[in-house]
Amino acid sequence: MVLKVTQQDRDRVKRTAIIFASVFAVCLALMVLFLCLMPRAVEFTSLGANEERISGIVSGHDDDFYYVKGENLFSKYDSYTHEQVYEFNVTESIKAKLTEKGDVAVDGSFKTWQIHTVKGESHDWLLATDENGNVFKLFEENGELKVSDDYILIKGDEKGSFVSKTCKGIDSIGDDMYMLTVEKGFFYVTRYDLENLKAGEVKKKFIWDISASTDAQYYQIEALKGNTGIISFIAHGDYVFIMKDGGGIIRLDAQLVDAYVNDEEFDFFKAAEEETKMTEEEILLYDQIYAQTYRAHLESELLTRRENKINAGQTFTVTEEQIKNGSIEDLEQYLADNLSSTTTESIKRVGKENAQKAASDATGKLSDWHKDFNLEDRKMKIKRQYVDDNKQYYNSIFPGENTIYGLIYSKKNQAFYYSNASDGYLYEVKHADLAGAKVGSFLSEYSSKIESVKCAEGQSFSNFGNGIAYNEFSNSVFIKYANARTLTIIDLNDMSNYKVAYTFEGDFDMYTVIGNKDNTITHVMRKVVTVGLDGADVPGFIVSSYENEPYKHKALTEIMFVVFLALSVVSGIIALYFALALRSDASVEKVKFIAKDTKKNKFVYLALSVFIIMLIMFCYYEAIGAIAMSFFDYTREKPSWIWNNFANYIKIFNRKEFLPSIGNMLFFLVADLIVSIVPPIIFAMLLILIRNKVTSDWIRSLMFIPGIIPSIAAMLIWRVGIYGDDGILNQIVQAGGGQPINWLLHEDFARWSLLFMGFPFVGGYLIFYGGMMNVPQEYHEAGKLEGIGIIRRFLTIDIPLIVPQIKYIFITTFIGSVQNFARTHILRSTVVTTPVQSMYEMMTVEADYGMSSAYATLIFIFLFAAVAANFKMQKADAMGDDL
Amino acid sequence: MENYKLNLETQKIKPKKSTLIMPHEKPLAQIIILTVIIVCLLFSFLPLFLTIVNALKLDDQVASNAFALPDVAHIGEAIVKNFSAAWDAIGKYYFKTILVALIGAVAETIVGATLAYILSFKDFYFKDFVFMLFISVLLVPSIIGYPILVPLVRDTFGLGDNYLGYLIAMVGGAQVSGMFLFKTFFSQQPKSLYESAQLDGANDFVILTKITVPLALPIILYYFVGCFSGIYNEYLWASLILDNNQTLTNIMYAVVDSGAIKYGSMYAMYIISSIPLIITVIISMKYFKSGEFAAGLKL
Repeated sequence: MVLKVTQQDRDRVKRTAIIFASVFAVCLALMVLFLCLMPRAVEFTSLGANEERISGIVSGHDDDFYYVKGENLFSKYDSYTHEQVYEFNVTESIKAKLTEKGDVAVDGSFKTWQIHTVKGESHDWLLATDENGNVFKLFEENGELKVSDDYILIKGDEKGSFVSKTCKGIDSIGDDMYMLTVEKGFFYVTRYDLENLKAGEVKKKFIWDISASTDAQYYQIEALKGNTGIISFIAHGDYVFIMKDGGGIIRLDAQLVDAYVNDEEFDFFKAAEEETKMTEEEILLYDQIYAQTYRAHLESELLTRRENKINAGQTFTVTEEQIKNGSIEDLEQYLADNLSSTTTESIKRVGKENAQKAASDATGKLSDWHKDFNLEDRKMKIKRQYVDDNKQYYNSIFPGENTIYGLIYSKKNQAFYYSNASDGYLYEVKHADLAGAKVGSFLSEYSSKIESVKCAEGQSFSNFGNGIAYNEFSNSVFIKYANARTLTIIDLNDMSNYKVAYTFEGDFDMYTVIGNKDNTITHVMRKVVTVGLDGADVPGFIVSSYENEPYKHKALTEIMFVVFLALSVVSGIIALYFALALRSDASVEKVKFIAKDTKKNKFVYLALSVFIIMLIMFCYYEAIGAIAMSFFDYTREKPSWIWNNFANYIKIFNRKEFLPSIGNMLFFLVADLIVSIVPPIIFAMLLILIRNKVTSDWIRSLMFIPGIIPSIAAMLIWRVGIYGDDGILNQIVQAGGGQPINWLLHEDFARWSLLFMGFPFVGGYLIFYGGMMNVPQEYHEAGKLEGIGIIRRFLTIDIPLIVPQIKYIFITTFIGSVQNFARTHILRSTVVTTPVQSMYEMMTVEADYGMSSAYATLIFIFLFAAVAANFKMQKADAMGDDL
Repeated sequence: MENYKLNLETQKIKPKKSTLIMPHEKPLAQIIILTVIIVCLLFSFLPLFLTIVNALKLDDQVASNAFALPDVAHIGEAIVKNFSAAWDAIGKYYFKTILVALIGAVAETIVGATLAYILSFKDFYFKDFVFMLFISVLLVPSIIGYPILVPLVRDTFGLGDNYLGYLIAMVGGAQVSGMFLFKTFFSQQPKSLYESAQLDGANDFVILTKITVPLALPIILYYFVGCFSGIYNEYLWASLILDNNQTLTNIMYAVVDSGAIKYGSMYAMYIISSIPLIITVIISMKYFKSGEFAAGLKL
């Protein structure tokens, strides 16, 4: 067909080029538009050397919230715009205030700040607490944060204690502020009168006044002793609630406390002297130490350590001054050097008894004890606080048999909500129902199941209380299930209304979720662990903010972006092609021909485009993306696209598993190739040699039957039934008097065990059988006439004629063997690593996609080289045949 | 070759059987051959034998001697106990998985056959290019792209934990091998049939359904059965993309791995999971016993 090129053709080509160029331009513009519209999570990460660490997040009085950034900074963010409103250097400001006030009593070396909000009836304050136990009052004025003139609420060292205390929670009821502090495993709740604080006079109204003489104005809560995790601390109504990790609730009655206090005197010194012949000083020392530490140690292994330390000593003398000025650690060292072992024994015994006296009351009427040391009359006063069963000032309610996760309190509903790990439902506990709860009663007795809120099948609630967060602005709960990547919102006003709010990449521990009044998640604080520069794990937080209804838009815009990207690439190429064709008549002619051909086959191209889009979407995009990804430190938690100079590859080559895994891969490769070709061919030959065709027919039918077992089931049968502890191999070994062997984890046997799965390897015979049956009978007849034996017949006639089948099996086995991940994974043979198994582990366990992709790329290169070499050999063969 | 055949016939040599008894056709040789084959068969049946025998036994019997035949006195009790425990573990996902595998296999077969038809019988300028585009994918390990594929299906399409998302990527990935297999067989079909059909004015749909498919039915069935058991047996992809809507193999692996199900119940579970594959095996038996399909196999 000769095509003449006319001016009209040229014009047409030109026109087409222009049309496609304009389509290209439009698509490009749309692509850029969607790229700009794409919602992006604003992530504040705290993990690099130069980046700021975010260690806290708290919602403000309105829809705003505050971060604790780095060592010294508080910064305020707007929850709608996600923009920083201001930044406040807390250390500098407070130091300046200290200097201004000339206050030298407060130690200026502040450590790790935390921020708290206090929402009183007339006070909207921010409190800054540091690790020394100092609590400073801040307020906001004219859009900036300031240190209040009555700046200090609590001085960290004012108790005169040996160790500092940390603030665990602050909340307020009316004009009272409650603070939960932790010190050496003890928890203290202190009540402050905000009215008095406001007047500039630091005056406290305590819930429990423990001792008049030592000014130790803290209340120790029996139920909280030990390092129990506190998940929330809430003051509401007349009560203060402390919720513990694992699900217990401690309820303190703020009103009843003061009324039920009785004093009782107990001549402890006398009793101790009579019994143990201890000296006064010894008793004093004992008391100081055990009062501070004993109960905290009851549950802790520290006790053993410290007892051992004391036992090492011999004699001791100590003065009151020394005790007051020293630290617990110093005293213990002193004891270790000086204390006699007999004295220690008696100290421990009496100490235990005394502590038990207090502890035994925890379940009964005596709620707590405290002491007043009086050296002059050698009496120790124990002030006991008796309460009636009906007038308890604290309740300790245990979670019960079921493990419950997460516990939040809705002030609006006046109810607790918790999740139950065993059945996956959310439970509600009405506060009113708790009123009659006895000490030590179980939470489940007061709970009602919310039928409408249940984990999806296969999911469970996150443990440690980190999977649940309360948004008081919208009275709703955010739940992060343990094995889902989604955040679910439950509206507490309407329990049936709950939905998946956002899907995240990867798993994480959720710490705090800040939502605003529209029930939009604005910021999620989640914990991540990465490896620091020195190789140590660095825990940090990622805080991400999301747009309103982010999920729907995200998917849509992403798809639109990809569609227009693809369209612009295609139209750009076509436009360029047409434009370039204008250079010569010959190319115009070619273009004309192609255009005609395309027009004729337009339905073919239309149909093909569907397949090609699928191909690109599900094959090319992945392959190219994975190869690209292998050059970056791309992990699920921190997707970074920064070139890392082949670090992933270097890491792979330097892993100690690398060479063994290559060895295993080659071992399996060679073995698989042999067992997938040699035994099936021999089996096929034997079948052909059977004279009785009915028998052969039956055997071939029977050979299909083992195939009814699903491959995973077959592998599991091998793993459990054959190689397992009670498997038949071990049953045989034991019958022979041997010791059972763990076949799959044994260093010598594991590889062979994996290989022998599938014995006798004849399953793939059919392809060879079919090939041999198609060898023309005439060849055999001719062979027979020439007196060729059966073995020679196979070697010289049959096998050369089934080379295509052998090649097919060879290549598919080659590719399959290198990629065989199920073998090592399903059989759980952890001693045998292969590159593909490492790749799977990198992808799933480590979530290091960069490393995983690097493994995949290496496997790809190996396979590509092998298959390309094979094709080249085939080509050479074909050329040989032609000659 | 024709001449040679004629030659044989014209010479009228005596019947083969009487004159040329090959050594392997002697009774002793046949017995040896049969013995070897039967030993192979027995070993091949070992997992199946273990499954059936142990599914009918109580747990302590399985643990003590896996080979022993079931105790007749306890067989009824064992069946009730084992199969009800097995059904409790996997029953919920059983029919779902079968349906999903059926739909997936139909989709994969249709896609593969259509694509192969286009690339075999249609003549268009970019044919070679398109063919290369498809065939190069065979060189890429299928699991290489999962770190990218998983977020694509889960987040971009929003099809995580969804059987559609599970299937769509599988169909998208499987089209190449299907196309390749079908193209090999389609190209062996007589061209003259197609030419006459075109002369009679048949359109592509008619040709595909009336000529191509009937002619290639065994291989299409072979591929369909392969796809069905492929999806039914799929483990890795399912474990990455599905959370609650699980597939049978994943549930089986999970319950065995966690030790939640053991001994007799475990084997009963395998029997239940084998039932759909019995049908595929019967189809395979009917069509492929002769091994004829393998004649056209080439790479």
